[in-house]
Amino acid sequence: MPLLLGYVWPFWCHALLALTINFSGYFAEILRSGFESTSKGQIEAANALNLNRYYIFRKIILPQTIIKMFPSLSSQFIFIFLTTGIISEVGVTELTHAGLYIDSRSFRSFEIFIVLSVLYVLLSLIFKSTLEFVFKKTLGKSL
Amino acid sequence: MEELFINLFGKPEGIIISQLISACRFTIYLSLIAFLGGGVISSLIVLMRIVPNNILNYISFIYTWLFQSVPLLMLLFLIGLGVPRLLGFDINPWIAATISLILFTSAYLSEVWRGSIQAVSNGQWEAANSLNLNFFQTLKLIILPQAIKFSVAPTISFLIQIIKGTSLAYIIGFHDLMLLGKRWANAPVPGSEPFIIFPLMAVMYFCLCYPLAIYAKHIERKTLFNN
Repeated sequence: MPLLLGYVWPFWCHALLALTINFSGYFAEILRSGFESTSKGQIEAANALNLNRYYIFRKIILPQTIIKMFPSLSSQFIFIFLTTGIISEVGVTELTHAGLYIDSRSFRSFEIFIVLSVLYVLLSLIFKSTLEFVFKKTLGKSL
Repeated sequence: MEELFINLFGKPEGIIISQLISACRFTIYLSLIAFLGGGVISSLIVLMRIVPNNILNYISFIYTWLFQSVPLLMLLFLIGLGVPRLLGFDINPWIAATISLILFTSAYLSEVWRGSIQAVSNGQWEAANSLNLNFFQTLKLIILPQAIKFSVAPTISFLIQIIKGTSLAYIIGFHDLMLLGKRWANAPVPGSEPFIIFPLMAVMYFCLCYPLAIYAKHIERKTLFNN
């Protein structure tokens, strides 16, 4: 794309754009299945109570959908977090890129990649427990 | 085949397209090997997860958790670059890519299959138990025939993930569609600029994945309809 457009954004902009496009596909699918799984009867019942469409969406469909979506959304988030290592390919200085840089200086590949893997595992654990904590606090249920 | 493409598209593009298409076969081989190997290992893992034995359950839980938390890229680096440096010999990129993709596949696929086994209701286990069937008889005769129906569609969708995962194997020098495309994109040949090559490669990956996606949707709808 930089060649085609003739100018270069910072590398992380390109990476961010690519990851956003990728994640938005999955996100849309999760959202769709969440909304579809809310039963039609709920909407009809709300219609029967003469609630307007905005109110139905805001107060009836959205809370149920969020509860249903949260687990798959959080696991998808962890998955996308694990794939962010790829953006080191376009030259963004993140964890993997830093590891490769140290590797190219010191040639101690095994130790570096073990440390990187442990860091990724720890980070994904932190994200996972944080998301579970948020879910528990806001909705009063465990995943 | 190359001449046909040269006649169709002209000099640099015809060669590039035919080479890319012939490099596709390594992508397909690698994903099939990873899928089959990962399938065998993940069925073992699932078995270990559901047998009534705490230690085996724990081991398989740790296995899935570990290899789901380590990114595929790290597995590839570790097995393709780290282990050879530690042990002092070279590992063929084929072997390294296969091992890391099998580890990746087995972790995710075992989770998919465990889910589909758990989707079979608990009453089935209890009913089989009351008929004096032992664990393996129950699994083979009652649970698996029902669970397989649930598992086909997600397994095929996961195959798509594997095909996309093989595109990372170029990083350790595995000669597939991605490596060849990148080499062409870097080559100073007019007509092989990155903005021509990468969309071409994207189209090829799309052609590999989209039929599978359609098939998975179709099967999913069929199982939903039957239940």
